Amino acid sequence: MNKTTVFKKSVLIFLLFIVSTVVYAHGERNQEPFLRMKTLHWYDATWSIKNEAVIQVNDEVILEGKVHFFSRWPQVINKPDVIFLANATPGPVFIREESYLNEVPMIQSTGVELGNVYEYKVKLKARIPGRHHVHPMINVESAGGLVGPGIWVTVEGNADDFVYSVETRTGQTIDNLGTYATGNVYKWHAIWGAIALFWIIWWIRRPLLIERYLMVKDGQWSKLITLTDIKLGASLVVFIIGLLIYANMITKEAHKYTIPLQGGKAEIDKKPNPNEGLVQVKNKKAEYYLPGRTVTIDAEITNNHDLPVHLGEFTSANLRFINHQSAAGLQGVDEGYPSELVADESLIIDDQKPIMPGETRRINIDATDAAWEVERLSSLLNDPDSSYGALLFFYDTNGKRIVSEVYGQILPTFLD
Amino acid sequence: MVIKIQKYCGGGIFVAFAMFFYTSTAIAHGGVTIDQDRCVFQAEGNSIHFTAYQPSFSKTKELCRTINSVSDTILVIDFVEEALRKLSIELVLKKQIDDGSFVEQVVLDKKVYSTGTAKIAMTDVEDGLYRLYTNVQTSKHKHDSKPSRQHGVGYFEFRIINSVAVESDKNFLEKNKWVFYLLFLGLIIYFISKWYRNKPTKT
Repeated sequence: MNKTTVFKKSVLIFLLFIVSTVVYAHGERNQEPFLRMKTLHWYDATWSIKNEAVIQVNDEVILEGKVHFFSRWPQVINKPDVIFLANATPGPVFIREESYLNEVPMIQSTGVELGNVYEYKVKLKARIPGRHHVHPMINVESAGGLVGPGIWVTVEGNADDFVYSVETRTGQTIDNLGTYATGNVYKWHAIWGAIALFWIIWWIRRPLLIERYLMVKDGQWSKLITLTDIKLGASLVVFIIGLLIYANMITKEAHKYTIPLQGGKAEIDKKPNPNEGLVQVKNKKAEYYLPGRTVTIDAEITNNHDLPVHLGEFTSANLRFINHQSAAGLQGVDEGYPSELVADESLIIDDQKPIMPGETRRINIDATDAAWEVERLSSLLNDPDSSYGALLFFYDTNGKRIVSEVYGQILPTFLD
Repeated sequence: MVIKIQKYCGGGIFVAFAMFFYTSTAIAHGGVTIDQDRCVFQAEGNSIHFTAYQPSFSKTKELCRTINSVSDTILVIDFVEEALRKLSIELVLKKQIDDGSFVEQVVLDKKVYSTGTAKIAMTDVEDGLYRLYTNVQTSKHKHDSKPSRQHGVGYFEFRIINSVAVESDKNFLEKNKWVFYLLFLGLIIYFISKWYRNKPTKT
């Protein structure tokens, strides 16, 4: 292989590496609206710090709240039989120290039942300085990450000061898990990388596709792999197996007690919902008025509770529309909640009178806000599944909250 | 020479494969979030999103810098930044005239848009270059003696084209040029396969 060939092949390989994409914040906005409206509904979300807070490297942030797994889960993605509770941040700028779903540690994946609500808690520790958007997130097998509401956090300090100290079950203290045994990591990556590089160079030093294809066409199979190739391949197999045995021996010598990587799923018991069925909602008609950024729902509401109820909040895809005539609804919005996800006085209900016990009434709900466009939810009309899903928060006269699902097809309209 | 071409074909195919598999996700508005959307412009440092709809022509399709019909048009302005919802905003739509200057077509007086969205309905639409100005009344300018329109710095420029008229002006060849592209592709495939079939095999 002459120098020109080596140079040209190097350029070609280099081309592959320079092809890269730019990463933006707000990736959640690129998810299809039906995924965001009919999968997870996050509510009662709180953070241990305020939106736009400034913290230092090594400071902790706790994300808590509830996540409702929508009963009309989209057919195009897998059911949440395998999920993993995580956090959505731009890269590993935080480490996740602890995570819980219904108080069960979420070190492993788990499975949940549709139509149920689970309480989540994620404890993070700041690692890399910068301004980061921090969300809770649940990864669903085949569907990817489904992201909850996020706050902006500015991390100050020096990344080199980050310390993640842990004590193992054998009593050994690891001063910093972030840098623990990195020498070993570099060494073994270098060894395997060198072997792989050697193997690639061994083959690409020869003419690649066309010439070998012509050999195959001419029936000259024996010329494709030479005797030297076979000898080298056999030697490498022996060498690699020997290296693995040696690596295993020295690891056992250094670490007498090891636990295999755990592949099982954690089991979570669902919590009973005493309010289930107390208020039933049926979608009669739903429209999206494009020029006005308004979702209009004509719903039939049946109150099976023994107290009058009224609508306090409409929430979907992390957007919250609060009924400003409902004191209980207004109290449900924490001071630190991201304001861009809470619409102003733009939830209009045509009939504000409480729905009496046993009564069934049709009401018209208008939820207007630029957020439908800003959060990229307007495109739901172009989805293969033009349907919506949302939660309605009703409150009885004692202030008790009753959460009901509403779902149905939605049509675009230009008529106000 | 033929052998050399064959040798480097391997590399060429390699790159072709690389480029083929390097595809980004196709998302509306250029696959970016609203912050980097090409339909977003700035006023007083705040982001504003512009959308145009032509229900009778393109139904629910979101149009932006180029609008391909002179049918009735609805312009929707979404105020991305929270801060804009508390400020008084005047919206002015202007059209370019023959001497290159812009004249007012529609003016929506100063108003606070608490839902973060505003709309302008355009009827009797003509083709041409338009600008939508958003004059934001900031607290900094409240006591300014100048007319408010002069301190609005944000505008969005878009063009309306009478594509139906443009299309009818085209001759038969221009209207059906895709057929010729397809024929050209077929010829290329034919000649490549003919060359490949007749090429001398290496012994």
